[in-house]
Amino acid sequence: MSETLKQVTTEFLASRPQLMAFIYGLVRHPQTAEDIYQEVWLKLAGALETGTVVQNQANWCRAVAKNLILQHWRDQRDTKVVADSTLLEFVDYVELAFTEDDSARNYGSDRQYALNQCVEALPEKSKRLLLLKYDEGFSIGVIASHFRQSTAAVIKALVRLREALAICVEKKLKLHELGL
Amino acid sequence: MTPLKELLVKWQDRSLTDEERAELNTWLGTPEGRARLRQEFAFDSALLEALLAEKARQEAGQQARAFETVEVRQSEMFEDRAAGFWRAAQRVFRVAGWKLAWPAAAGAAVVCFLVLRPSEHETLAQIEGRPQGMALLRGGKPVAWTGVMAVKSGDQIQTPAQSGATVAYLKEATALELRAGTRLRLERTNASHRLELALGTLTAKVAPQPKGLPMLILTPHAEAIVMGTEFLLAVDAQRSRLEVRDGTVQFVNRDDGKSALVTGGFFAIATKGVEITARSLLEEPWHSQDIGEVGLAGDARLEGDRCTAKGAGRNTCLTKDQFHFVYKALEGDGEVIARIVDLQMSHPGGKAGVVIRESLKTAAPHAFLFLRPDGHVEFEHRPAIESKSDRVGRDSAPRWLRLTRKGDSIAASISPDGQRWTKAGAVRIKMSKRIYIGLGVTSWDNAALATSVFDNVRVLASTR
Repeated sequence: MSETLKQVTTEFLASRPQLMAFIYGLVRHPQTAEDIYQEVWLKLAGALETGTVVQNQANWCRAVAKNLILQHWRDQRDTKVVADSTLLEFVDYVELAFTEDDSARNYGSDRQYALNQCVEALPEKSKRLLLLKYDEGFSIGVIASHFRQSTAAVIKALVRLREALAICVEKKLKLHELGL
Repeated sequence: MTPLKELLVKWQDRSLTDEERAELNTWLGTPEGRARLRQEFAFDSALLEALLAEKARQEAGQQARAFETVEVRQSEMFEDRAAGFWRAAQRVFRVAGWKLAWPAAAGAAVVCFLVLRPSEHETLAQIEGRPQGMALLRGGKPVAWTGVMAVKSGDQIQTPAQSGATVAYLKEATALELRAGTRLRLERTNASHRLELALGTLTAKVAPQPKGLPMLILTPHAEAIVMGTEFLLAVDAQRSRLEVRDGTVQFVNRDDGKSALVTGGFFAIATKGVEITARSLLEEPWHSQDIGEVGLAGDARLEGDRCTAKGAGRNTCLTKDQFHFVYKALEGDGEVIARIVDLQMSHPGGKAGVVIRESLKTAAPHAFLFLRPDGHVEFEHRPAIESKSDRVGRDSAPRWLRLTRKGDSIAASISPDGQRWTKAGAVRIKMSKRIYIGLGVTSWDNAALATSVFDNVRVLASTR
C-alpha cells in the first residue's frame, strides 16, 4: 500500500463517526447507510487511482455521500426528490451543518464505549423499543401499535430514553476522567 | 412555529409534511439550528452503533447458552440411559442368568422402539367435516378417508378448487382455515411446528407457542415466524402476502433474507427484488387512529368497501371524546355512508357509526350518528364545547347510516336498505373547510375493545 493510500485510509476510518452521522441522519436505514459509506470509500479509492487531488477529504467524502443519497432516493422511485426544492434545501443545510463543525460532537472511542455501556444497562423493553426504531427502522405508528401505546407515548418514551442515555454517557465520562 | 426538537423527531420518523419541512429549513437557516441538528445526527449514529453492538452481544450470549444446554442435556441423557440399562441388565443376569436375559433384552428393545419411534408418525391435527374433493397425501400417496381424518407430521393437504377446509390442532388451540386451491404440508420438528404453504391462502389463529420455538411457515418466497397470533397468508406464483389481524409475525423475504415485523392491522409482501416492509391495511387516503386517551389501542382493516374496526374508550360526548376513528380528510362538502352489519360490544354504552369532525383533537366539534348494542340509533353533535345527544330511532344491525355536510349544516339520515332515507336530524356546526370524515367505534370500556363491521362504506365529495 502506498504511503498516500495509507494516509487516506487512516483518515477515512477516523472520520467514520462524522460521515456515518451525516449519512445515517439522512437515510435513516442502517444497511443503506453502510452501503453508501462503503460506496464513498470506493469512489475515494478510485479518485486516488486516477490521480485526482482531494483537497479536503472530509468535505469531498460528504459531497460524494450527498450525491449517493440523492441517487438512492431517486432509485427508490421517490421522484419527488428531483423537484422537491425544500428537501434539496434541507440536504444542503445538513451538509453545511457538518462542514461548519467537522468534529460533529465527535463520538470517539471513549464516548462510544460509554454509550455502549449505558445501552447495555437499559431494561429489555427499552432496548427493544430502540432496536425497533433504529435498527429495524419501524415508524413510530408501527411501534405504537406493537406496544399497544399511543404514538405520543412512544415519542415521549424515545425522547426520554435519549435524554437518559446522554446523561448516562456524561456521567460515565466524568467518572472515567476522575479515574474511578 | 413548531419546535425544532419535534420537527427532528418527525424527520427521523419520515412523517414531515411539506409545511413542516419548510419550517425545519427555517430553523436550519440559523447556526444554532444547524448545531442542534449536528448533535442529534451524531448521537443517533452513535446510538445505532451501540444498539447493534448490544444486539450482537445478546445473540452471542443466546447461542452460547443454547450450545451449553444441548451439550449438557445430551450428555446427561446418554449417561443416565446407559447407566440405567447397565444396572437393569446386571440385575437380570444376577436373578435369572443368561437363559432369560436374552428374551428380556429383546422385550426392552421393542419397548424402546415403541416409545422412541420417530415423531413423523405423531398425529398433529384433524380435518373438520369431510370436504368434497379434498386430498390428504402421506408419503406422496393419498390416504383413505375414515370417520375422523387425522393429519400426521409430514402429511400434505390439498383443497379442491371449489371449497376450503378447517384443520384443528389436537394439543393446542391452533386452527387453520385453508381456502380453495391450497396446498399445505404440516410437520412437527424439535417440538416446534413447521408448515409449508406451496400455494393458496391460509388464515390461521395460532395459540401462543413455547418460548424459543415459534411456528415456522415457509412459502416459496418467504418465511413467517409466528409466536401466537391471527393472520392470513396468501401465496401465488409471484409473491406471498401476509396480513396480520392480531399479534406480531416476523416475515422474512427468502430472496434477500431481510425481514419485517408485521403487527396487527398491517401487511407485508415478499417477492423477488422488492424490499419487504410492513404497511397499514388501510390504503391511502384512509387513516385510522384513536381519538383521546383510550385504554386499549384500536385498529381497523379495510377490504374494498368493507371495514372492520375495533375501538376502546369511555366517552364520545360532553367535552372530550375517546374512540377509534377510521377517516379520510375531505375539503368542503360531502357525505359518509355506511351499513353496520355486525356489532360486538359488551357494554351497553358502546357506539359504532359515521362521524364528521373538524380535527383529530379530543374536544373537536363533531357529529356522530351511531348505533348502540341495544339497537338505539342516536345522533350526537358538539357545535363548540359541549355536545348534545338526540335519540332518533331504534333498530338493530344491519342498518344504513349517513352524515351529509353542506356548508355549516350537517344532516343525519338512516335507511333500512340504502335507498329510502329518513332524516334523523340536522344541526349547524361551523367547521373549517377541511374536515375528517369516516367511521367511529367505542366500547365505553377502557379495558375492552368493541368490534364493528361496516360495509358499503363510501365517502363522497360534493361536486357542487
